[in-house]
Amino acid sequence: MSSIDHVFTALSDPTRREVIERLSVTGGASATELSEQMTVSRQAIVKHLHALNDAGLVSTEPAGRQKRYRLTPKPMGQAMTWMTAVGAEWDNRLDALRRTITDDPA
Amino acid sequence: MLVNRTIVLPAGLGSVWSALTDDRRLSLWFGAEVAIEGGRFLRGGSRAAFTWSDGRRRAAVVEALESQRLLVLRWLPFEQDAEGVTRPRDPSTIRFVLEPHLDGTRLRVTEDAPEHLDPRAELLAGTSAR
Repeated sequence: MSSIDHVFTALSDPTRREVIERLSVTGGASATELSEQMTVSRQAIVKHLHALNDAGLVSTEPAGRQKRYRLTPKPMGQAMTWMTAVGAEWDNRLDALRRTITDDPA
Repeated sequence: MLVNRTIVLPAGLGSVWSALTDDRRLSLWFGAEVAIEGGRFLRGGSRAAFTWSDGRRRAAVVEALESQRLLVLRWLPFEQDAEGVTRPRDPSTIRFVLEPHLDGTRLRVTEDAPEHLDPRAELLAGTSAR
């Protein structure tokens, strides 16, 4: 799996998207806080946070005995920019390919 | 693979294959003028030069080829601008997969993101800069 795929794999899960949404609203939270807000087990939240951390989408800082998680949205922005631009390029190309093949099936 | 598109084209495998592998036909839709060694992609290792209307040039090499089934192109890790100045570019890969379909040919295109978009690399760079 190419490294940037981690971002999209991370975003493919609805619980992880909710974690991102909550972190973006609150500015940061511990796994326990997220678990309480979302009524998902703390263990499951920690697993999701690890996936987001692997993708570079969240970072941690110590806060007492707990870790506090924050969003690092830059990778998401770059990845989205890349995907939008290259996706649009392929949409144009494939339209042109369809016309080419219809006009001149060879 | 990040960008992923699938379309069904109203033509047989042979027609779609030639639109992907014959440089005259490839130039009609790719958005760049393509010059392939010998005019066509025939085997792994075949090279091609792509020239865009702004004068930018990039080269690609065939990484895998199975006639009328699969074509994988890898961009070489540099490009040349209109003035001939060469600058590095991260390599990336385009993969075409063809399959017969009731209405013609099903074509799936995927393009991998270049490595510099690795979010973890970005994160590490940010940490060390602090």
